[in-house]
Amino acid sequence: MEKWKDYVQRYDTILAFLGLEILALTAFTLGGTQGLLIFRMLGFFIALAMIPFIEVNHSPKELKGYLIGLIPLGVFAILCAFSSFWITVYSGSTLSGVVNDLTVMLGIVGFFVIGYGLKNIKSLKMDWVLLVLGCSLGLLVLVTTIYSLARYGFFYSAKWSGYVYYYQGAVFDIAAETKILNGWSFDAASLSFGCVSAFLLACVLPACIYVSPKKDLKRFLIILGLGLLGLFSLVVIPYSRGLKLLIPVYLFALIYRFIKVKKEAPRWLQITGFVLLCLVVLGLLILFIDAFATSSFLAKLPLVGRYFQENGFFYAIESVISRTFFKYSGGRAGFDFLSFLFGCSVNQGVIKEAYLADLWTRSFEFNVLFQNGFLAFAALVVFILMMFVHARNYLAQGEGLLANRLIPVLMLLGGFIYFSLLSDEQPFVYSNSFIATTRGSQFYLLFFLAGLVYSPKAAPVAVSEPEKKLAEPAKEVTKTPEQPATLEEVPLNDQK
Amino acid sequence: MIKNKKMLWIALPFFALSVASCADTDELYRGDRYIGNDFMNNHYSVFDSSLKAVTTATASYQVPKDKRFEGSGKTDNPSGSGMAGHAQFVEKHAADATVNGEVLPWLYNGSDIANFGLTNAGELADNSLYEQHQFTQNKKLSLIDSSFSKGILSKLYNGQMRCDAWNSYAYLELDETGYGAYFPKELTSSKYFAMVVRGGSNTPDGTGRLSSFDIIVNFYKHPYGEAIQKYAFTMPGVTLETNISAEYTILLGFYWSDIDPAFDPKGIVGMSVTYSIPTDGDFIGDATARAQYPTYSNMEETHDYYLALMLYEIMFPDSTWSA
Repeated sequence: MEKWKDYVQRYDTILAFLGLEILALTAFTLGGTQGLLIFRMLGFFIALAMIPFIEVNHSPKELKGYLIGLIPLGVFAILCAFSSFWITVYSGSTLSGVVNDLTVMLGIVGFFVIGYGLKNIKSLKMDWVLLVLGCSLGLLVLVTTIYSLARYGFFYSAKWSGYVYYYQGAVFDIAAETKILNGWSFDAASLSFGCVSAFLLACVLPACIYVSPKKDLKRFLIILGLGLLGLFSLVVIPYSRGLKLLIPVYLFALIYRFIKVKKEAPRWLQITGFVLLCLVVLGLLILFIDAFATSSFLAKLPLVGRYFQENGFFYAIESVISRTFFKYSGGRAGFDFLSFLFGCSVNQGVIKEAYLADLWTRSFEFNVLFQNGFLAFAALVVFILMMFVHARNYLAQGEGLLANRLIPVLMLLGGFIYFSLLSDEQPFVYSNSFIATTRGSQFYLLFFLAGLVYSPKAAPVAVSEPEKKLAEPAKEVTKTPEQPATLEEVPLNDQK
Repeated sequence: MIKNKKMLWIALPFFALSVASCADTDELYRGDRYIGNDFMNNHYSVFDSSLKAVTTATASYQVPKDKRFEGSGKTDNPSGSGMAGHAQFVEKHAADATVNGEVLPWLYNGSDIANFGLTNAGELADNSLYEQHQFTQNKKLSLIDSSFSKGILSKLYNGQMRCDAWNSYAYLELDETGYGAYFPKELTSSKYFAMVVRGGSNTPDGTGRLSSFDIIVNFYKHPYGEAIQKYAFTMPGVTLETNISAEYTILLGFYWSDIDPAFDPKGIVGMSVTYSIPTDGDFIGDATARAQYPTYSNMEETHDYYLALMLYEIMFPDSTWSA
C-alpha cells in the first residue's frame, strides 16, 4: 500500500478529472459509435491508472476476495466481446472486428473499474460524479428533446397515432420514432432506442424526496430539474411504454423512503431475496424447457398464453433459445455445442439484416444469449443478481448522503428494467443497421454505475489516512452508515 | 431585475412552443391511405390549387412518337415494354445512359430495387448497389438532390419503377384529372425528361386491355414578379397495359432539344400530369369483355370500373437544381 501513497496523492486530481471526462463524453454519446469505440479504449486505460487508488484502500486479502467475486463480470466481458456471432458478423473485415471486440471487453471492465475507482478518490466528492453524469445526460436529452419538438411538435405520438409519412417512397409510422443525436448529426430512431437517456435521467427524479428543499435547496433543485427534464422528454412524446416502466423505479424509491433500513439485511429480506432468486431460476428453467419443446405448452395457458404465441414478447425469446441450443437445417437438427457455448454464427448464406431481424428480442439478456452464448448469458445473470445484493449493501452501508447513493441505484435499476423489456437492436428508421445493446454507450454507463454501486462488505477507506483506516477497520465500518441519520440533508459543498 | 427573471421563466414555455414547428408532421396520411388494396382508396388526386388555377398554357408542344422514346404498344409481349423504351433511349442517346463506361441497364440482376419480392413492402431499401448499376436508380431525383426524398411524391423520385411486391406503395394512381405539384427546388439545367408509367384498372382479372393514352405533362415556371406560366407537352397515343395486375411499366420521355419550337427547361418549379383515353382499348384476351366491363377514367364519376394511370417515376436525369 505504501508504494502507491505518492502516486495517489500526486495523481488523484488528474485521474478524477479524466474519469469524469470519459463519463461525460460517454453519457453524451459524443461521436456516436466511432466515438464510443475510442471511449471504451480510453476508459480501460484510465481504469488501469485508477487501480492503485483501489489497492491503497483495501488489503490484499480483500482485493483477492473482490477479484473472485467479480469472476462473472470477467467471464461476461470476455464472451461479450468474442463470440461466434461477432466473428461471423465481421467477416470480411476481421481485423477491425477484432479491435472492436477487444474494446468491448476492455470497455466493460474499464467502466466498471472507473465507477469503483472514482469512489476511492478522496479528493473527489460523489456530488461531482453525479453532477457530471446528470448534466451530460441532461444536455443530450435537452438537445434531442428540443430538436424532436421542432420536428414533430408536442405529443405527436398520441396525436398522430395511426398516421404515416413517406421518405424515399417508403412508408414510416410517425408515432413510433424520435430523433437522436447520432455522432455529429440527427437521425430518426425507434422510440425505445431514442428514449434510453431520457428514461435514465427520469429515474433520478424520486431522489429529490430524500433532500429537504429548506436545508439543501441547491441539491434539491438540481435533482428535481434533471429528473423533470428526463420525464418531460418522455411526456412530450408521450412515450407511454417508457413512462410505465418508471412506475416500479418510482415505487421502489418511495417505499425505500419510508422504511427503516438496517445495516445488515434482516432475516425477512434474506428469505424474500432467496425466494425471489429461486423464482427467477425456476422461471428461466420453465422458459428454457418450453423453448426446447416442439410445441409451446405455455402458449396454451390462459391469460399469459398470448405472450408466448407468435408476436408475443416471449415468443421471440423462445425462438432465440431454440436457435442457440439447436442446429437448424430446415428444422431442428440436433444439439449445437458451439452455438450453445459461444453464440449463434451468422449464416453467410442469408442476408445478414434479415437473419438478425428474425432473431433479436426485446430483452438484452436474451440477445446476449444468441450473440454471445449460454456461458455469457449465465455470467450476466449471475452478475445482475449479484448487483442486487451490492445495491442493497450500498444503500444501507455506503458512505455519503442517501440521496447520492440512491441516484446510481435508481438509474441502474431503471436501466436494467428498460433494457430487459425494451431493447431495440435495429433502431434506425431509415436503415437496417444493427447496434447490439452491449455495444451502445448506455450499456457502459450501466457498468460505470455498477462500479459505483459495487459494495463488498468492507467499505472503502479514505485515501489520505490509509494507515489509520487500516488499523481501525472495525471502527470505520461502524462509522460510515448513519441510519437513520443518513436521511439527513447535507449541503452540496459539505459532502459527508 | 427580479421582474425580468420572472418574465424569462414565463416566456420559456412559449419559446419552447415556438420552436415546435412540426416539420416532420407537415405531410401525414392515415395508415391505409394510398397504400391499401382498395383501388378507389388508392386514387391520388392532389392538385396544387395555384397550379390548377393556370388554365391557359403559355405554350403548347406536341411530342409525337418519333420525338420521344417509349416502350409502349408491345401487344405480343407487354413484359418487354419497359426494356423496349429503354432500348430506344439507349439507341438514340447511348452516352447519356453510360456511367463509368457501363451502359446502365433497365434492370440490374433482374430487379430495380434491393428488397425485391420480400414481404416487407414499403420498407426502405438500401439501393446503393443499384445506384451504381441500374438506370432509374442512377438517374433518380432523390440522388440528385436529397430534398426530393420527402413526402408522398418521393414515390416518384426514388428510382423504383416496378411494383416489386410493393403494389400501391410504388406508384401514384391517377385518374384523368391527374395531379399537380411543385418541386422542392427550381430546375436550373436539364437535357431530357422521362417518366415511368403503366395502366391499371379494377376490372376482373383477365379482362384487361391495352389502352391508348394521350398524356399531357405540364411544366410550370414562376418568373420573379410575374404570374405562373404553364407549358403543355402532349404525348398522344401512348399505349399502356391496363390489366388488373398489369406489372409492366414503360419508360417514356423526350429530349428538350427535340422539341419544336425550342423550349428551355430552366426555371421549372412544378409539373402536372393529366391524360385522356380516346377509346376503351384493345383487348389482349377475350374482346367481348369490353362490352361486359366498360371502363371510365374519371373517378369522380360513379361507375363500376375505371382505368387509371399508374405513375411510378418522374426523372430529370443529370439535371441541376437551385441551391
